Amino acid sequence: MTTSKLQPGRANGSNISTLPVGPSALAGLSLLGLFAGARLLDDEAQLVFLVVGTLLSLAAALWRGLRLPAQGGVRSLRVRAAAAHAAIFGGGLLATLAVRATLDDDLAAITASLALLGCVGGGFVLGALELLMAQSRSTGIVDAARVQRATSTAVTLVAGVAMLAGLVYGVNKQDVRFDLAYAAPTSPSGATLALLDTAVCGPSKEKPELFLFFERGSTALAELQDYFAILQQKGARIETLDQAMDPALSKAIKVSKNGYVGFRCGEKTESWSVGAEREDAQKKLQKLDEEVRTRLGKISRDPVNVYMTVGHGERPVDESDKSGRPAAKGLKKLLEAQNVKPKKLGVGDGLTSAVPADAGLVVVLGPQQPFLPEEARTLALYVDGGGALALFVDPPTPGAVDVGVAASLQPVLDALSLRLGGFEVVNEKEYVKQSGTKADFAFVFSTSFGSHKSVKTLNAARGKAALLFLQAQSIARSDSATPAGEKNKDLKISMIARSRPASWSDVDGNRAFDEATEKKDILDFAAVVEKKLGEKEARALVAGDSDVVADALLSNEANAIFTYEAFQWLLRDDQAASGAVTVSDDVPIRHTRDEDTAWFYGTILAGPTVVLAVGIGSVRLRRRKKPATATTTKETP
Amino acid sequence: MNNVAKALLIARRELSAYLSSITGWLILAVVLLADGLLFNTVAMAGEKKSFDVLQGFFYFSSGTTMVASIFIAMRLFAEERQQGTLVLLETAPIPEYVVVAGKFFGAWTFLLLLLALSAYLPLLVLVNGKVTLGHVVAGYAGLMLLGAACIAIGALASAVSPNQILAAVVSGAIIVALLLAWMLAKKIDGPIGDVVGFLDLFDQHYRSFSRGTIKLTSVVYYLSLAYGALLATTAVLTARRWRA
Repeated sequence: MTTSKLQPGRANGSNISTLPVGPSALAGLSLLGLFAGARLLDDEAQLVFLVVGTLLSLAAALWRGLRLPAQGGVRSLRVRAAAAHAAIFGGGLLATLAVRATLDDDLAAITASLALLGCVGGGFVLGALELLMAQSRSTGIVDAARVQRATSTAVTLVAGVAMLAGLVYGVNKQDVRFDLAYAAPTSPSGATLALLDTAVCGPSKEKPELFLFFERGSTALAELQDYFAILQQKGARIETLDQAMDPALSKAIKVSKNGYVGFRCGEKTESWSVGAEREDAQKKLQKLDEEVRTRLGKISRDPVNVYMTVGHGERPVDESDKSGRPAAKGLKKLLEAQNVKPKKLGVGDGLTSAVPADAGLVVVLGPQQPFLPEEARTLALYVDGGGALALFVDPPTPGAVDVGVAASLQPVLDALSLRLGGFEVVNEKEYVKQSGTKADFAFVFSTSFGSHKSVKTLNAARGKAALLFLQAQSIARSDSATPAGEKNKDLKISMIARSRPASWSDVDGNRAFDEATEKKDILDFAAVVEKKLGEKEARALVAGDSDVVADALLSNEANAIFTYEAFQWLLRDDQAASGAVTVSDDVPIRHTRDEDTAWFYGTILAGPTVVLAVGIGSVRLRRRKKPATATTTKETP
Repeated sequence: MNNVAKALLIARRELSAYLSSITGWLILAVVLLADGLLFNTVAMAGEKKSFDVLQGFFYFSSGTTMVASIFIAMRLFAEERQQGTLVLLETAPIPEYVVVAGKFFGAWTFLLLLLALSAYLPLLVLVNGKVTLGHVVAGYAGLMLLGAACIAIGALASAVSPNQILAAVVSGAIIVALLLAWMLAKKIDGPIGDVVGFLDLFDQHYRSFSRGTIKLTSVVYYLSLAYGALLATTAVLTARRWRA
């Protein structure tokens, strides 16, 4: 039916000659008016331009339709073309108005897309029509079938693109992603998510606000978006804005230019300078999760003072410490991320008299020298009085003289009804192979954990997660063995990390089992102690190894989880959900030129050379075969 | 013979055309050489972690893939026109979309071969580092999708251009325009800016692949771009057929 109506017809030559330029120019002017009205001008001028643009667009559509030849089957084409123009310009107008009306709404993005599609589709239709009309000018014939095909092609394209745009928009709203990277800094760690989960701000108990101060299109912002999108999914209120657009907020967050991430929780604010462009931000982005977690902790938690004893050869926790002893800087960072202020506690700070009243926790981290009796008594009194203590005591090195560290801390251990094994725990069957010598027997691990808040994630992963200990001593209850046992019946002691079966305390230090003096058993590496004192509650963690929280082993995820959760419990942050600290065990790729250059360059050159050789060989073979085949074909008949 | 079989026949013919010419093998070798040099001098420079090395590899591989796509796709229709064989396709009893699909899949398969041959480079990280298979898979998925989009754009350019050189220039211009969409987006406020920014071929969509994250939005974006370009190519061929 349609085909028969649209048979080619001869047109009036004078009408055709005036067709192309006028309506198109008018259409262009109308779009310009609409754009200026919607985007560039203000108030009354805006309205004037919008009205003029609208009228011009309708006029262009009518003009286009009316100026088409009106003979024979082309009549219906005229109606169609006029309708198509009216639809295109009308759609453009509606889209532009909608963009203006709902500038910050999702709908605006859809209408903006439609406006662009309308322009593109309109361009196709106009182009096709003008081309055909120009052709018909010389022949005096309008090929209606061609016009119909051109229009239907344009409509197909626009419909196809509109469908794809809708699909892309819908998928974009879902924001489905799969993180397959080994150590992707694009995802927040469990610890950060746990922190966010428990963070509440102000009297209305809202989630923290995070402001990304970046210019639109910033390359650094592109790097951050994936990470913050996940935080947003988990409840954080995230806003991306240009610093210059909101000076009041910038001032409140103390941000003076773009390239910053701002944090706000009630009255507390923090900011982190990332850099406006990728090149500036690259190094800082490697610590993205750590920086965000630290600042989230600072704004969402009340600060806690943690005192770390000094003066007994404890493990260093500061970057500046050059003592050479394997450090525990990661532990300090982990504490700081929970809004903890680490402070030193030595004789000069009152360790011989009393622990400062503002102490939230006291940490004794791998002392190598004995404590003074007064110091030990102070710590014991502190725990007895409802304080929190973390005590990490390494065993004496086999073959070395025992300087009596454990003995000096006996008052503290008595207060907790615990005793230390005094010898390295070794296992000749289940250990971590490192040097390939007997020394590895002391590199032991635990896959069995107690039912306690301090190890709840590890306990849930029992049998899978391996908490590493490097030269650890065992811990045992001393309730019946010491006189203090009577006094400490109200203590609640939980063993939280057990050795693998057939481990033993290496009494003679030879890392070989001697049946006469040693006994294979399941031993405990760490214990937690709780004691209710009215409103207060004393909490203590005692571990027979300080490596368990030191940098060397903190890269092991189980150790990081243990450190995070145990200190969370010690800091009485019971409400916080447990979450793993993402620790990348990715390693730097080291390749000395002497060793690897030949190998690397050889491979680089070998790949293309082999490909080229195969290619040349294959092409030559084909060329040789072709003439042969051709000859055979010729000869056959 | 149904249309799928016809498309596969055309694809096989296209692939065979690449592999039976020195040019095809030369493209493979040159791109591998460029990948290798960039890998050794840029991605592996200094002491970097495996993650950064892989990210660097996929970062510059996107460049070589885009360039290779332009050279692979430029001949799809322009060469037929130059050799006078396009008329055979136009008059053959095959729908235009089958021709377009066949040629696209032939060219894309050749690109996939190129990507497969480059796989030994990220595996070099195994020497002293730690490779994640997931990261490699995500990176190559990104390269495959980016390559599909670029080849489709190249097919469109080849269909509208009278010769191969112009086809390469046109497709290069379109790809560069899409690469620079983020610059335009910076200057446009509001939702239009968001839309323009979303059209960005690299920053908005490819970067996450290079970092081991597959975003469904980006997958759909690349597939849509490829589909849209192939739809336009079909429209161009259709127009040529009824214009004749």
